[in-house]
Amino acid sequence: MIDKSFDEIPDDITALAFEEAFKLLGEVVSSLEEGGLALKDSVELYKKGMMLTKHCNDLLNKVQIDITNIKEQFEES
Amino acid sequence: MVFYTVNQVTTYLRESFESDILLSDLYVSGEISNLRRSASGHAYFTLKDDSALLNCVMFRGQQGSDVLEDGAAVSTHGRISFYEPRGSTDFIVDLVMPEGAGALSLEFEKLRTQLELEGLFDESRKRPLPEFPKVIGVVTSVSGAVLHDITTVVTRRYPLVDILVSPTLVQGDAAPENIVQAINDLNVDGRSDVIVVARGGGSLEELWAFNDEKVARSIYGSKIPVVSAIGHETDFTISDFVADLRAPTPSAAAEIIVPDVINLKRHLYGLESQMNNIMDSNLESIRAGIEIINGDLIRALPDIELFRRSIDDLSREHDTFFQYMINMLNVRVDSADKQLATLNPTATLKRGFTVVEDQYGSVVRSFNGVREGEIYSLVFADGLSQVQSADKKL
Repeated sequence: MIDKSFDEIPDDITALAFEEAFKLLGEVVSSLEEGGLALKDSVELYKKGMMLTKHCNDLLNKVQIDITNIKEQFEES
Repeated sequence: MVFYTVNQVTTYLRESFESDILLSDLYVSGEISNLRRSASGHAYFTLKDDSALLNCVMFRGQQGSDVLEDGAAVSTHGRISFYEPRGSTDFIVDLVMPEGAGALSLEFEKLRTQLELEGLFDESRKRPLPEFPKVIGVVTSVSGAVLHDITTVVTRRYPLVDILVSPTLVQGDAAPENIVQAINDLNVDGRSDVIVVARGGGSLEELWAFNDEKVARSIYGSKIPVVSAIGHETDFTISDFVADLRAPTPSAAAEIIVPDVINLKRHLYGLESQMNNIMDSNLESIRAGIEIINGDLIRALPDIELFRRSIDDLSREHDTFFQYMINMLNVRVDSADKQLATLNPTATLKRGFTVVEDQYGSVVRSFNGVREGEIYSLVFADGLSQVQSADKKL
């Protein structure tokens, strides 16, 4: 549950890894479902929720994975 | 010449057998006969071929004792010992398999039993895999299709993950050391959330490196969870038993380890819809609430229309009343006006009368007010004339 102060939601959502953003989004939706929020707060949560959704989708739209050979890394260092 | 006791000789025999490298770790194949089981559950039989036999004992609980039956052709493993109380040489069997199993199979069974007893295969120690891995460590050969299969599946399903390849030989005598090193390197690097140990299909010999005890212990000791994907679906290696999870093939491993972007997107879409629905219904509730309040307000206010109409009625009544008053006044004014008209001195003057004023402007009303020789004004309707009084006569 996210309380009204929204402390758990960082300002820079785009810095979050997928897992964190996805889990946070789940909590946002739960909070909205539970209801009982003032209109201003629920609008704020909704906006954050939409931003989280967009960020997750952006991450999933990546096309190529990064492949590294650990031996080569060792040689470099 | 030395005379030894019987005990000394039998002890010597026993110790010789037990210290013999071959006899203490022996694989023997032959045919079973004279099988009998004691009350304690131990099995006694002979293992024979055309020209010789060995007296065998297999203690209760050993691997494969259910294979024992008279006439069965078997492969066995055990050690030779001398049983002093009876003066017999015994083959103490710890493993029996149907003949043709081959040394490797026996080896496999032996190690499997041993490690299982030690607890390396325990379900309780198997760790859960991360739901959303950020880095996948892959222990495999850099040549061959395995790495390609894994990366293809991962790219399709969950492209936001990174892959860290820890290359190794996957068969041959040098392979076990290599594999151990590769797993260790990934653990030292530490970035991987999960490790896949993978190798394509092959014969028992080709997969043998993954049955190595060192490899098994290295998987067991890995801090990072290990998924094994070795050989084909029907191949089971010791590594598969020790791993936190076994996948039937390398591609299957990739599918198990990462979620599918299609499912995730669908879920995200669902959450988005949910949020939209919640907000819509919130706004709807607020709107309905406002309507209700509005209704209450309206009911609480006095009826302005009624007031307006009352005012209209009143003003109409007023109008009528005022009109009446005004009419009355008009009538009075008219009659006053007429009265004034008759009282108007100008009309009197016009009839021929004059008003006489003395020099101070006062009106002389009486004969007695006239002084002889004084100047008086005669006021006519259209002017005045100044006259002097001459004779007064009554």
